[in-house]
Amino acid sequence: MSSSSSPMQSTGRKLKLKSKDDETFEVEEAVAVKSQIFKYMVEDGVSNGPIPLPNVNGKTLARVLQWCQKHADPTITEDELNKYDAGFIDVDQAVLYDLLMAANYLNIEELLKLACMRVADMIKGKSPDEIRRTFNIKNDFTPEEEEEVRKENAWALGP
Amino acid sequence: MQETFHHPASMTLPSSYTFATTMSGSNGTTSNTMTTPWMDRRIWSKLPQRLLDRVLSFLPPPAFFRARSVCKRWYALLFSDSFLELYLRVSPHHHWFLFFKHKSTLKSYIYRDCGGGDQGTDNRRPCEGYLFDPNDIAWYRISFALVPSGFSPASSSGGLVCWISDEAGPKSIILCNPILGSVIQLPLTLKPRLFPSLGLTVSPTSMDVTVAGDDMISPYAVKNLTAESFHIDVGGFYSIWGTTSSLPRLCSHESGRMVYVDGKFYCMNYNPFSVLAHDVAANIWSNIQAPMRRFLRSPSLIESRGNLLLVSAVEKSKLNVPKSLRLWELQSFGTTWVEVERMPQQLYIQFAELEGGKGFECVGHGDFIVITIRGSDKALLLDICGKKWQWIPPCPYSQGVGGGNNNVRDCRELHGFAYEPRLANPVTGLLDQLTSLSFQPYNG
Repeated sequence: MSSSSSPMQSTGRKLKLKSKDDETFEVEEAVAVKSQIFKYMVEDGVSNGPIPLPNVNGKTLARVLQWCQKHADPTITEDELNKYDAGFIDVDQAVLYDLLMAANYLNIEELLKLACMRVADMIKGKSPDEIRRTFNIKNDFTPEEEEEVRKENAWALGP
Repeated sequence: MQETFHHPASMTLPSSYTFATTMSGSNGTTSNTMTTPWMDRRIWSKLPQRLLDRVLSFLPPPAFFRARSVCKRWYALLFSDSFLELYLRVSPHHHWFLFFKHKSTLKSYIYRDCGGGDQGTDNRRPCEGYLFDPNDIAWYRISFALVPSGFSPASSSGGLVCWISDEAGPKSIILCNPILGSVIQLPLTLKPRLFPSLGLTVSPTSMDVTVAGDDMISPYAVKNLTAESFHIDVGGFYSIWGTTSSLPRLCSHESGRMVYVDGKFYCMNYNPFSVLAHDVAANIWSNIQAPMRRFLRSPSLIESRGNLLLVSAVEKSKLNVPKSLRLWELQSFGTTWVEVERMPQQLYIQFAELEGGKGFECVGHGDFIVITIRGSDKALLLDICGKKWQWIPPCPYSQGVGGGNNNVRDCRELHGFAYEPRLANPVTGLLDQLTSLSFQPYNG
């Protein structure tokens, strides 16, 4: 992926990033600082040479940078941004997982929120057993304890 | 996008609305079951615990409480400081609603009860509330058994529901988080009042309560003279009803609820219609003219995405303008009302037929508005963002309780608030400190 094409009010300086599978990306500072990590690097003046990101692969990094670019665009309206986000996060699970991990690693609060919200929506209708299976969690309640907990929170089951 | 109208006489209705007629009865299939997407455990079992906790912070409260059955650690999250700290930082607002099956709290209704000696038989303090999720169109029943009798629900903010004592005199106020089962009482107000209006706003760091009007100038006479305010915040500032203000002359707000927007409490003033505003920080009341004030019927105020909206039926008999239900937004620093939405005419015809002049109430926050029709269990939901109107399926919990007396009508009628379910209310910690210092006898 090469540098952004839309003009931005920025110093015009670019950051070079290198994914864990050695793909390099050039990105405008104004876009990169959506990530708190890059924000500090830019502020501290540490940006010589490509910044290695051993926890993010090229495909994911490309997507993340696309999102950052969109969100750094001063001309876009809130409605357009919401529509964009809805489409952006509608991806298959493996991609969603990678985006979640990358947003966390790169400390991009808004993207992390978007991804978490999506996962929450996927699990909110699940039974406790389904949730345990999904996340490989051991049920450490005795059957009596589990029944107690269920009764205590019975209102949440609905009609 | 949405046009704003200053002269709506020739407006064209937004064509992108949809409305659905009432769903055919809940026949065993609950509106709460959803098909959930299959999740690949090979992927998700690798999710680190801290990120999974963060995901849990985004769950709407019923799902969170169901998830407490998963394992002991998840059960205990509700009491975990580190989880709650994360929750307070990242959790989204759930703009839901809370309704009560209740004798109306309007003044006229209460007077009827007081006068007729109905008190004994009709002492139906609602022990339960009905939680409504406008995203998934789902109902839940939550208990208010911890609230003592002699109190009525008055307002809600930041996950807390506020109850006020019915008895004339200085007022006792109780704040309750129904999903946590927590109850805390505020110190008594100072002036004796009958049925004052109450405004509440709660944030993670502060709380403001304003109690206004119905000053008892003698044991049998009330007048709208003053308001008193309560404030507490993490900065250490507090005012235990010591902040008082005078109401504008000749105002009449009929024990209305007050809506908080951007530093002010607002409530409807009647005859003629206007909007009373209380600037909390400056402690000053002012009066704002209402739009089309001579032609309004059943006006309500609501908060919507940070703005104040006035919702009302409009009846204009002189000109050849069809009756309608309109929504105006207060703009330009509280000086101009701009019409932002109008009920589609076809839907209005249905609505008017059901409502038949009995009146209706509106509550709302975020993107959602609910209109409940008096004397009926019918309610409309408006998603103001998507411009979608729909009839809400009746609450499955409030059906069938009757008794063949005059009160059957009340039983189905829902009266409620915009309510945001929250797992934690940090400001109640401040209240704990406060009430442990002041020795107020419980006014039970």
